[in-house]
Amino acid sequence: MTEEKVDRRRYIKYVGGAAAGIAVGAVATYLATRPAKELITTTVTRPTTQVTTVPATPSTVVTTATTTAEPWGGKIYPEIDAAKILARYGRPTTAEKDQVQVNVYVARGQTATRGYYDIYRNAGNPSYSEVRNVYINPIQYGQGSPFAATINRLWGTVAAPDLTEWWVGYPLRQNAELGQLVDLTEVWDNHKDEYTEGTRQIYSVDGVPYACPQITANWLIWYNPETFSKHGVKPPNTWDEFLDLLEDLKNAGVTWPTFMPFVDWTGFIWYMELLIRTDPDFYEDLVAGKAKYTDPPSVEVMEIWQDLLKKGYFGDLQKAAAPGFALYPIAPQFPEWWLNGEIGTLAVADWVVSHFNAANISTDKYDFFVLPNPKPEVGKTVAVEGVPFCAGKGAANEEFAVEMLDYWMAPEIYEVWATKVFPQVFPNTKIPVEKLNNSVLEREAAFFSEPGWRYLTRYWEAAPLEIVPKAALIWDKFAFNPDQLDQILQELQKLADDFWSESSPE
Amino acid sequence: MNKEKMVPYIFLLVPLPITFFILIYPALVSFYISLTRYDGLHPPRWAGLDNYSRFFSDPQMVVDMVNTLIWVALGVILPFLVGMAIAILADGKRFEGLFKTIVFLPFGLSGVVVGIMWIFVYDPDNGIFNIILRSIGLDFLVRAWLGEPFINTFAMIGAYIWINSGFSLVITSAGLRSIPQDITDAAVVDGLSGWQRFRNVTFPLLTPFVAVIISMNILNALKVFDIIYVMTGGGPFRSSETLAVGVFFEAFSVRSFGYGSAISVILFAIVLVVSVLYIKYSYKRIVRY
Repeated sequence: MTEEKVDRRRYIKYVGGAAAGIAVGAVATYLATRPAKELITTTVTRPTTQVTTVPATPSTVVTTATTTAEPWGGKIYPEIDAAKILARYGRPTTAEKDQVQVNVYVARGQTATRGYYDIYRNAGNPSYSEVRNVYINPIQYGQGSPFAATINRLWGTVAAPDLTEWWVGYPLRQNAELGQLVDLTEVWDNHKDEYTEGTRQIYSVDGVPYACPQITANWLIWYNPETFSKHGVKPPNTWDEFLDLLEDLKNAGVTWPTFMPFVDWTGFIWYMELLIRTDPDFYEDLVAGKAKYTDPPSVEVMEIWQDLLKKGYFGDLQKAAAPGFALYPIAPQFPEWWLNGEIGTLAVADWVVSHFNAANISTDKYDFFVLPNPKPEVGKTVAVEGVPFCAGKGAANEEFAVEMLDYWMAPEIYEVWATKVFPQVFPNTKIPVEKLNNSVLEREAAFFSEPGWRYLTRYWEAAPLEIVPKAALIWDKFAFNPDQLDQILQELQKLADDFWSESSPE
Repeated sequence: MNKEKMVPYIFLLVPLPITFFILIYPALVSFYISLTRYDGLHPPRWAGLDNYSRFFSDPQMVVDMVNTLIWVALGVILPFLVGMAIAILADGKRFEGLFKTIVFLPFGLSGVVVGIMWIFVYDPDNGIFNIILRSIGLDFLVRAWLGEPFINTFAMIGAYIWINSGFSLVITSAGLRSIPQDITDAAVVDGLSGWQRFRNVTFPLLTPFVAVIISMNILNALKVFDIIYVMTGGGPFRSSETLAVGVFFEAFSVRSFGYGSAISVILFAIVLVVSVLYIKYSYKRIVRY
């Protein structure tokens, strides 16, 4: 092969052509992906449903909203008076001269993102955004780990998040101790008659609140009353009754007497549920690094769990480890399994109701009980998962972020979120329980309004993130290998020792 | 230096800085982070070689290395053999273009898309794989292919072969086109059988192309991430995790950026050594007539 000299002009022609092609492609891509002009869609309930789309001119959008209004756009709860709510909490009620965009970092997907738009842009007539000329700009991530890594790099910098979803417990403590979070005492004091002290403490570090509730979920055992009725069983009141229940469901051929995917993050659930009901004080010491996984209370819990595993109450584990067999996002076949009676019981938070709603499963087909204590003398305990909003200290729009949180926590506003977007028992006690419009959640609200409950932060938040994901996988391994109890406990303790022996993380 | 000699350097003024900031600088920072304890929240603390000694004493890294070696062993050879076999068998045959297009098409898909597709294929209840096994009376083989530790690695390699056979096919086809016809004709005239022609004429002349295929397959198999992450996430309980997936888990799930960086440096070293050794070895063996 002979070498051909490259002609300079031809070379420049080719490079120039390539550059021009890239430039044209970039412009075309920009034009093709430019966000469309925002439309506001109104659904009006008439004998024949009709959708009317009007251009986004706020002054002309006055419609009669109904409870069937689309969550994306459209006026919802027109009776909400945003200015009055702001005035109640001592916040400004006039529009900012220049429009403000508050960045809100989201790791929970499209539904949550739309919900945030609804709260600030469409709830009320006019809405908060229309009153204050302050809008939200949700920045959405698809996954927890990269989301957390990104936000951790932003805290305390010029790009600190105005508002972000975050975690309570140990992660909240870490960021608070580094001075990266806004002290929200003022906000919580504004709402002190609306939220219980117990709720406040979930979102606090050493008594100082650094977060506001977004989702407050109790961890319970869920079941389908129809499945129970079919097999002649009922919710248990004691631990022995619970064991009998699982045995009866297994003998009746229920695929999963208790459904639990041992894959990814869920491995900690049964350990947590059993430990908070045998020794909750030990649980709090354990997650704080003051107790060991090899201590007798932990061993006792693992032995109880081992017994459940060996009796086959968790069904086909190989199937349970297959992809898609998950709690969040929930397995696609979950509604089918639930309605077919293949699932006997399910240990999960009450946010599972949003999955039931999404699958159009009615309230007569799901209900809950609290796992009975293996040690009855322990008292009433429940694990709580708190998913908060936090405001970044030094963020560009820090003052507006705090104002938005104050507005968010108002009963009228939180009701919109907790009924239209993310069903949950209202942490705001001023919202009438019947607004839940869900008999199961109403029963849950009444259940936990009784005194004497001890709320413990869910393990995933309570323990350091440097331990939790690995520990969950070690427990997954235990589920598949219940005979390796001692080895599993040693692995867990080594993991904890490696972390706690250092004076700071990693 | 005259103007003509300066021109190449002027053209390098754009790509070199880009390469430095996108490739070299992050690699240097990653190496530095590997010598620290860093959780992404607090400032990095100097740890020296602690992360590297931790790697060699971590039982999970043994699992990761074994899985990586399995991926290399099967993910290099099998796609190569499948692609080459199809290229040779289809060469010159009717509908050659159609066969090759069908085999090559998956190569155009992203690993994420392929992973999601093959999750459905391997679904324990409704996946086509188990349906076929049941239909031909092999019910005893039916299982949760991605839920069973160890088996799931081989299941994922099956999906990987499906994607990467196309690359081997294309390169081998190009190689076959480059073999002078007169050499092949001479082999036919000399009475060599098809297998003898392949062994003594075709394959030796394909060695430059085989070198490219094998070296690319080694690189890809060593750092495969997307398929594993989508299909099993490295689970259940990290049983199907490779070094590349381990980097992500340690850095982003457990916030051990220092340890994750150390694993990535070790993986880089492995890739570099294997690539250099293989290329040196294979280029010595290239046959030219």
